[in-house]
Amino acid sequence: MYEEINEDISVIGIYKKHHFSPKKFKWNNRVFPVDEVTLSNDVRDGMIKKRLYSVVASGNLYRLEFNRESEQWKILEVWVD
Amino acid sequence: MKKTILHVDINSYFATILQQENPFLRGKPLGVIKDVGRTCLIATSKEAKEKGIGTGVGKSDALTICPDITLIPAAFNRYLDTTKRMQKVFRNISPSVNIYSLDEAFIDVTHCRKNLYPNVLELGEMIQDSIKRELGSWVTSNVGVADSRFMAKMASETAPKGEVFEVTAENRDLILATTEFKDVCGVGFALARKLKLLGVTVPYQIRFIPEEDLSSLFGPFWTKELLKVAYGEETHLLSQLDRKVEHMKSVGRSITGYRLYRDQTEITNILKNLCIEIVSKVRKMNLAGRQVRLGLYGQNKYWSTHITLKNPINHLNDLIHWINILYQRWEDKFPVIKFAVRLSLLREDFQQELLPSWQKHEAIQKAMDLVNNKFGIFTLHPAAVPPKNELIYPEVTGFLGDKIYQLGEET
Repeated sequence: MYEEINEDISVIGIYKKHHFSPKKFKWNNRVFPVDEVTLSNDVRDGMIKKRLYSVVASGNLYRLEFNRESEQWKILEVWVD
Repeated sequence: MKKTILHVDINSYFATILQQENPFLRGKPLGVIKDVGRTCLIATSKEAKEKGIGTGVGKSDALTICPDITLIPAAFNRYLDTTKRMQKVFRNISPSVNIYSLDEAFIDVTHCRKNLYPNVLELGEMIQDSIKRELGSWVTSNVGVADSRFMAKMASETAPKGEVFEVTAENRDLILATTEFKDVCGVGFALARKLKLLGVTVPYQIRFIPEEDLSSLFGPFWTKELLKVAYGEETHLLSQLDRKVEHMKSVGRSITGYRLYRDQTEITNILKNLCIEIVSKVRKMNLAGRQVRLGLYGQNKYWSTHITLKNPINHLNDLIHWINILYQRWEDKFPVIKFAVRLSLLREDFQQELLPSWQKHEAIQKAMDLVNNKFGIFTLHPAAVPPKNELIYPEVTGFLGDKIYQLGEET
């Protein structure tokens, strides 16, 4: 199941061919290198545009959210088997 | 000119997208539920289907058949975005694209086949590759090719998973003679059951029933439709996709609760919650409606009523007012599990009223729209709605009945 986290994080990534791809994120003072972005989607919360990234890092799946208005990153959930 | 239609169908869409997102779920039986606490599987992965767990199976039955099945809540907001991205892929192939549901589309390549796509099987494979590139390598699809939407859909429904299948003059009758009615678009369960009583289980057999017998058993409309089905011609249902629809004719919302509701305040609060979503949608499309419908279901009981108004409405206070009036008509107060509200007879060319009271409500509504459009649908709402953690949020449905609203254009 997914376990809710909902905490602010820092993200490093690259822009390539008009797409941003997260490469690392820092959560709880630990850096997680992103091995794979498995899915990304643009969603709206009211008029606020958000981009959701599902990433595999250190053997776990994380759901990250980028608020395109406030430019804040959050870690939303982690998959717990 | 003979038409060339492609029907693209993503395999086990809701489950496949969740498996694409989560590599730990790939290759495993997966059931998609609407939300945490729900007991009906609204979609299942191909691995679950192989074990006999299909859409609509209850959670307890699924766990009995396959104790290690994983149950995950659907991610509706992500499905809609995924469908929009597929739509872009399809529009790069042909300008004539019909998004039929969240996971299905018809692409008409009749006018570009000769010069751009002389080999439609290669085109089908190219579409499958494009979908994988856009959405991920786990996402497989079926592509059916035929001279009508009806046969193209049947081809993709019956082809093995991940295949491209073309209906030709040589295999057409064979397909019609081997496809069960559950895979035939437009033939519902009741009609299929009636046909089965006549010993008819596949479309081809309909050809051998005398037309007068069909007419006496099914009436003139269905006789005509069944004959089209028998010969694989475009049915009325699918030909409706060509109909130009300027705007939505009605906006409704229903929800099945987690439990039976007996408390009248709780029931009316849920109805108000549904009204908020309806008014939000209707106003975003600059429409107003004249008919208000209310339906309640519970413990095998069903009650519904409606009222047709003289003037169209699109203010939340108006819709809530009329729902309250309709609610007062409900005498047999049985416990409710399903709630349904609808605003119909929508029109674009409605006249704004000049009465000061109406103008005041319009100003309030506009302010609410402004805030809710910016910060989310329930930022401002009437006081009496369900508690925050029980609010019912908008969601997309698999058949995408509101695609004009969701996709922002007629598709």
